[in-house]
Amino acid sequence: MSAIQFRDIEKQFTPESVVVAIDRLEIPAGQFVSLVGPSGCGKSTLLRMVAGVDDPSRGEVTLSDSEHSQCAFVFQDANLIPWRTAQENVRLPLELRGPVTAEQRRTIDQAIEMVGLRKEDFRKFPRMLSGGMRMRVSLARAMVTQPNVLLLDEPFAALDDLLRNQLNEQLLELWYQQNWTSLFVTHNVPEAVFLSQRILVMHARPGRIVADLEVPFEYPRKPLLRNDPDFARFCGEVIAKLAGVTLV
Amino acid sequence: MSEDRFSWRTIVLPLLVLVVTIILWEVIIRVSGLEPYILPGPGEVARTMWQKKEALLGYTLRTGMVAVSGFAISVVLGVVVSLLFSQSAIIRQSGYPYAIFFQTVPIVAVAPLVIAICGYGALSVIVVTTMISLFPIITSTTTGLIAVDRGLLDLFRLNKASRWQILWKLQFPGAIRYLLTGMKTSAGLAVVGAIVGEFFAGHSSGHQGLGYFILVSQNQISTASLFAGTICSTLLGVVVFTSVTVLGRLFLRRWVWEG
Repeated sequence: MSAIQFRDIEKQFTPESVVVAIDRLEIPAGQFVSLVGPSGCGKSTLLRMVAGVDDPSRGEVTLSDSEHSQCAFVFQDANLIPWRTAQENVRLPLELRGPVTAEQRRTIDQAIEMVGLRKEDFRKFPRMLSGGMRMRVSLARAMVTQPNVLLLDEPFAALDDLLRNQLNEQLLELWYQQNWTSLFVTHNVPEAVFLSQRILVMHARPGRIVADLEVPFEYPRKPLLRNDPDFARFCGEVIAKLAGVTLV
Repeated sequence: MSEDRFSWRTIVLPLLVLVVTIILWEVIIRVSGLEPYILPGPGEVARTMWQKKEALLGYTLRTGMVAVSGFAISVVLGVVVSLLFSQSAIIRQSGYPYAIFFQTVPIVAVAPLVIAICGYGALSVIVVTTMISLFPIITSTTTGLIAVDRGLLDLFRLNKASRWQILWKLQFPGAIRYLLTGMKTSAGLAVVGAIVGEFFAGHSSGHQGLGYFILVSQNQISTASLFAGTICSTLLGVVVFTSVTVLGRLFLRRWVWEG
């Protein structure tokens, strides 16, 4: 069953320019899909339309048997509120839904622990946390509402390779446990291949999907997969599609 | 920044400047032989302050009370006006020119008008003080309320936050550090406003502050008392400004982050 469906979508910011145009796209429930493409091809716009933050100019994006409220978004910037502690930041989505119950308070602590933060970090303000830790808090904040669709907009782009790999592995583990339908935007092809079951390659002006590739590696995926020649070969395939796209 | 940190130099260097200035002042007075009613020496000023210490303390406290009252009204009124301005561009565009009016109207020119309406005494002084210290609160708080981080606004919208929730959980806490900046400017202005107000309205027996004392000293050609009044006014300004800064650091620390 499809969790997300795009039908004849068009998004324009000005009448002359179409930013994204997608005829038909279906993402089955529980699938991990990555969107790769050049800057300005509308990957983030697509994500924002799924989240309901932006509306398409034409067509519709539907989320089956779920409401937009069950969507969670992880931004490129950790996007934490500076005057709230890590724990208070994670609590925010629940607070906006109503008074936070004792059970929800336990869920908040569990979410923070699941992303690998220690108890002593709970009461720290974002300025006291490293870039990687802030991203973990951001991920915990997305998880706390127990979403069925998780939208990630280049969440690890600003981190160094080592940290990015660690967080990729952790994200994959969480996805494996939680079975979210995940839509992940990235510029990093090995990251997309390591994480996803499916990769959508996009082309700019107007943003459209030019390749829909199935990733041929079994789960659970281990860090060593990155050293596998098949992994490198598949990354090469994706890059070729991307380069073709860029050169067109 | 390390320059802002508290260190011995932040105390000792300004004190050194003060001591050198006082010595130079005394030397100039002795060498030139100027009459004390034209320019008294620092010793003469200190003596006058000591002799009139109880009266000066009373004047300073009365001025301090109206300055703080006017300042408190400015903060409350300024925040309410800013909240209104932040809610709609139409309200902001309609009301902002009048906020600028408060900033540009010469307070000396408007004080007699205030007295005509409110009468002589503390009320008029408080009104003048409020008028002069209101504008910085409105401009900085409105700026803070409008300057919302787009990413955080997206986060709130994504979570279906109501306009009320966006205001109280995002805009207002985010504007507190702007408010504090406005409050620091206003604190200094409030003391100026109180003294100017007292020049015009502080003659009634119920309210005689530093402005009144300065006027009386001028009429009596008591230059040493004028210096004493000026020093007390300056100290009062420093105390009000420092109190706002310290209280801000103590109670608003969470919202006034750096970086």
